[in-house]
Amino acid sequence: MLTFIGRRLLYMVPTLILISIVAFAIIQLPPGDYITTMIAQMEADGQSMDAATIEALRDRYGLDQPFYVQYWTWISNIVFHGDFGHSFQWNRPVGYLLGSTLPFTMLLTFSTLLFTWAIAFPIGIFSAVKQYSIGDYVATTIAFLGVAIPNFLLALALMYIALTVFGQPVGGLFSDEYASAPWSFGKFLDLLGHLWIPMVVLGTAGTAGLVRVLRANLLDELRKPYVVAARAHGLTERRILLKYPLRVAVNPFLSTIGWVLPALVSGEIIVSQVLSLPTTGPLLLRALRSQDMYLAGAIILIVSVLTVVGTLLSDILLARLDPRVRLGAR
Amino acid sequence: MTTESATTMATDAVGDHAGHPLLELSGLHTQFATRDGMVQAVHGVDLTVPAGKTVCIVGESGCGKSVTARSVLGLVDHPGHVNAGHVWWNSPTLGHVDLAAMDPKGADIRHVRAQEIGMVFQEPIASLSPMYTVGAQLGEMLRLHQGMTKQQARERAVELLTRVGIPKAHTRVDAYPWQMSGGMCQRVMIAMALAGDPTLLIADEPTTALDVTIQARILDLFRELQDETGMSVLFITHDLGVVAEIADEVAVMYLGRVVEQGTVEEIFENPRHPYTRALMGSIPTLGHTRRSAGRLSTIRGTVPHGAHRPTGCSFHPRCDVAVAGLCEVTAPRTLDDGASLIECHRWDPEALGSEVELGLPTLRREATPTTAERAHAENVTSATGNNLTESAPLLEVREVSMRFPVRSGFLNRHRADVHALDGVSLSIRPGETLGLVGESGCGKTTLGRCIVRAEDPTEGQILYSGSDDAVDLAGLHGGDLRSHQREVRMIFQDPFSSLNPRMTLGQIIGEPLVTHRVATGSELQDRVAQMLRRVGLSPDYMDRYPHAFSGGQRQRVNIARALILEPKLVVADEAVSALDVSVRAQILNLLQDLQDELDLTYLFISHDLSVVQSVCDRVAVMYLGKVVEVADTQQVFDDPQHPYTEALLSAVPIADPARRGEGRRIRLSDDLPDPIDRPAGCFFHTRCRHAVAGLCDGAPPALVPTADVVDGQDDFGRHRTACLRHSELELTGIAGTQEADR
Repeated sequence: MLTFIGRRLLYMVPTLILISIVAFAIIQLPPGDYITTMIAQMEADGQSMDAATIEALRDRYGLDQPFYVQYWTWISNIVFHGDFGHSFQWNRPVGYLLGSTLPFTMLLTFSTLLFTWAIAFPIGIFSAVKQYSIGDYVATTIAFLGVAIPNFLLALALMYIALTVFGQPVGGLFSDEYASAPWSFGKFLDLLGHLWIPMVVLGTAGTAGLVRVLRANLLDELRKPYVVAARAHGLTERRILLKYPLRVAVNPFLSTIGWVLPALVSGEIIVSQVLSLPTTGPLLLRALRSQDMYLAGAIILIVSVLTVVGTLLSDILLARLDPRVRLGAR
Repeated sequence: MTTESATTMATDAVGDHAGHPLLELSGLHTQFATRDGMVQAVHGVDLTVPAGKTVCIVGESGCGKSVTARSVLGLVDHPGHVNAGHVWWNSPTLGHVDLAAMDPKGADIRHVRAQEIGMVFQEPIASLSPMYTVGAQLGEMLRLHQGMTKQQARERAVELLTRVGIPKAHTRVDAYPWQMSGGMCQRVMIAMALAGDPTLLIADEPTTALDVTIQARILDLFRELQDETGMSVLFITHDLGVVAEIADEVAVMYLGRVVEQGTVEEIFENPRHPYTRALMGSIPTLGHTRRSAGRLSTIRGTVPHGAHRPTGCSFHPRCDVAVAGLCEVTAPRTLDDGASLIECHRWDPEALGSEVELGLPTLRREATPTTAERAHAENVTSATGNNLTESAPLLEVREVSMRFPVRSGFLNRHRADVHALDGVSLSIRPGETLGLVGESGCGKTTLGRCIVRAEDPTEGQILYSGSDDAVDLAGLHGGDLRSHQREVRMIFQDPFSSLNPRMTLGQIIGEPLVTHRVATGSELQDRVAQMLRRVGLSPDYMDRYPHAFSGGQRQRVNIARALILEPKLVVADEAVSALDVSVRAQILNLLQDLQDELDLTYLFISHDLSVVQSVCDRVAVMYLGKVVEVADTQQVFDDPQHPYTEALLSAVPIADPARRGEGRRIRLSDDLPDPIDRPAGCFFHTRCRHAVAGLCDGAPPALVPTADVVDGQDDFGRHRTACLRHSELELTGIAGTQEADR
């Protein structure tokens, strides 16, 4: 087991280096840089900037350096000093901007993950065990609707319901009176009151997907000879289901951790925009539009690292739970 | 728990159920809801299992044997259910109860399953959960049903595993099922079935997926356990050899009904039902080589689907002695004289008119060779005598080795090799059939795959002399390889998974013609149609998909695909192993006919020695990646020169109950050596009863010619063996034992 983790950690090093290069290359890909965007904006506003100032700005930010020099400056600062660079647009360190949005993003992500599992697990089991029953058809229909309805539309609908039914002011994660207040129990309750809308909105699509996966997997497992054998040994239906096929069918749940983490960090952009949440999604969108390269680069890098870490986590869990993975079944 | 309510009921029930048989099925009907409507898989089965006896149910697949067994314990999966009839169980605790009337999820039936009737299944490894150790799974049952503590359960589990013959049970108890062999897993399943001290054990094809050597030991185990505990056994099998080995009574099933039932002696000595007779006729029995026996008799067609049950006697479309105007009109009644039972108009004096004689003539077991067969036999005999001595071998395998690397550890380094083939040398002459036998894992399939170059051998040469000079197939690449692959084709084992379900028969069979750019358009169509006709299928089937066909028909398609490029050498890898006996006989006959028509040379890979004996000219025996013996079929079977061959031969069950318990079997331990870390010296010495310390574990034996020379035999055909002691050993083939019944 330790060898397994050690080897996987070692594999992560080249993967992460490659990811950082690709992340940096991607934000360099669009023509021009932040200065070009700035000039265009200023021109649109009817102002102009002389060539010397432009050169000075480029020089100051190191934008005229070759790609590899810029990359090295960027990555070495991150690795050795924890410095993610400076956001042009916000005129603040990237680290500060991330520090104000990442915790909320993480909170939202994990609560959504738990929500997804809590809903998908029982429904998935139910619709597999009662295949082709009315309940299965209802669950399946809802699941497909969940996949099909665009998240932002659901967000709008829930906001409307929250406003009209619960009289809750919507948008953001806090009510106005708590927005800049220090942490207190009241603020925490306020957060919970706001959190459920994005949680449900973000969770539906994932839940629906997982229900389908669990149902399909469990159906396969329920037909395996060992289920009949367990029944022939006089075990109760409940025990057979929970102990034998479910244990195998639960594997894809663990695999989802790997992709749920990054998908939630980067995938909630539109929803966050609609609900005006203080998360990294809208930050990334704005940074990309204004070619705020260090901010965009940092977010892309973090999302990528989360993917790798998430995959590692799910693999370790998988190895922990499935002896075939741990001991290498042939 | 269940047991409490059960025991209270038992006190007043025990007294009055004496006199009933242990298990009695009466008028059992089990049906399945399918798209074609209701299919009656079990159609009125009456069967009794007396205490302490073994009752075997035999029949082809699709006859409802397994469904009958599962119906007993209420284990028929949705959408099937028992819709009529009774399963009377003489329970030691519940009294005389009808299992079919119980709620299949209720506490009573669970109590019966846990404590009174054990069940063993066909696929031992798949019948155990891969997620838990065998000890955990066995222990769970003991804790739940016997109220043991974790520690007690573990100790009892080790005891049970030891009792079913698992060596080193105290370490094996912590192994996962997939870390064990099929034979070991079947022992674990038997241990689980025995955990509740059952009075009846239901075994559903428990040895079908196992090697003959392992099968022999598992059958022994059943017998030993039965002697010890006095339990009854209901044994489902399609293998008449196994029936002859263990049955006291036999029930022959056809399309959901028991058509004949009697004691094992009666059924084998004087089978009365035409279906029983046909089954007996289509098994290749040991002792009949292709030169002596010839064509196998077959049963026409296949078992019809349950939704299309023929009118009248359901066997009449396949019956050779059906009476026109009677058998297809009325269903035969059950003629039960108390001891035996039969359902056939030919034995019913009331139904039969005066123009047809009552009964059937006594069955002659020997088939007469057809003209084509005799011609072939003469061909080969003369070939071994003279003609072919000068002709060079068509294929010569020289010192071929195949190793698969094993990687492990922190950096996934190459740690060891699995030695699949180790210096194998073999020759096949044009026109002959060479059999390749051995237990699973001995490398026979790998060798076949190397010859068709589906696998690249690690070292060695595979010399092929088709039309021109010998070419080393092992060294060919690209276009050269492709052109030789036209001449060496393979027939695969599994007729169900080896055909692409999204291609029509025409596309499947024609594909090699397209990929090798041999024919296109109407020429391609013509050739496919001709090939279909040749393998006994109608050219009309060309546009249909494989799912519409039975296993036997699909195997014909497989053969057609292999032969469409007009190859010279065909590697048949377990080509008939997945088929029912009657269909297997049809396919074997087809392969022989095609060989005569098309001058084919076969490498016939099989684990079934009786099949190999009936179709092969010469046989090579493999063990752990090496050829240990090679000779003419007759010599290998009559006068084996390697202890491994002797053990293999003695493990084959013989379809003759009179010969049971002669103690002629040599038992090999289930523990095959690890192909990564092989024993020193002769690989077989760890399981060999003739091994001598200091000799057999020293230098590895080479494959050398034996002393006996048959007249007219050249050096090529010499009997060779890789045993250091072969000249001093007196090994028994099947010749000695066969003569007993002549």
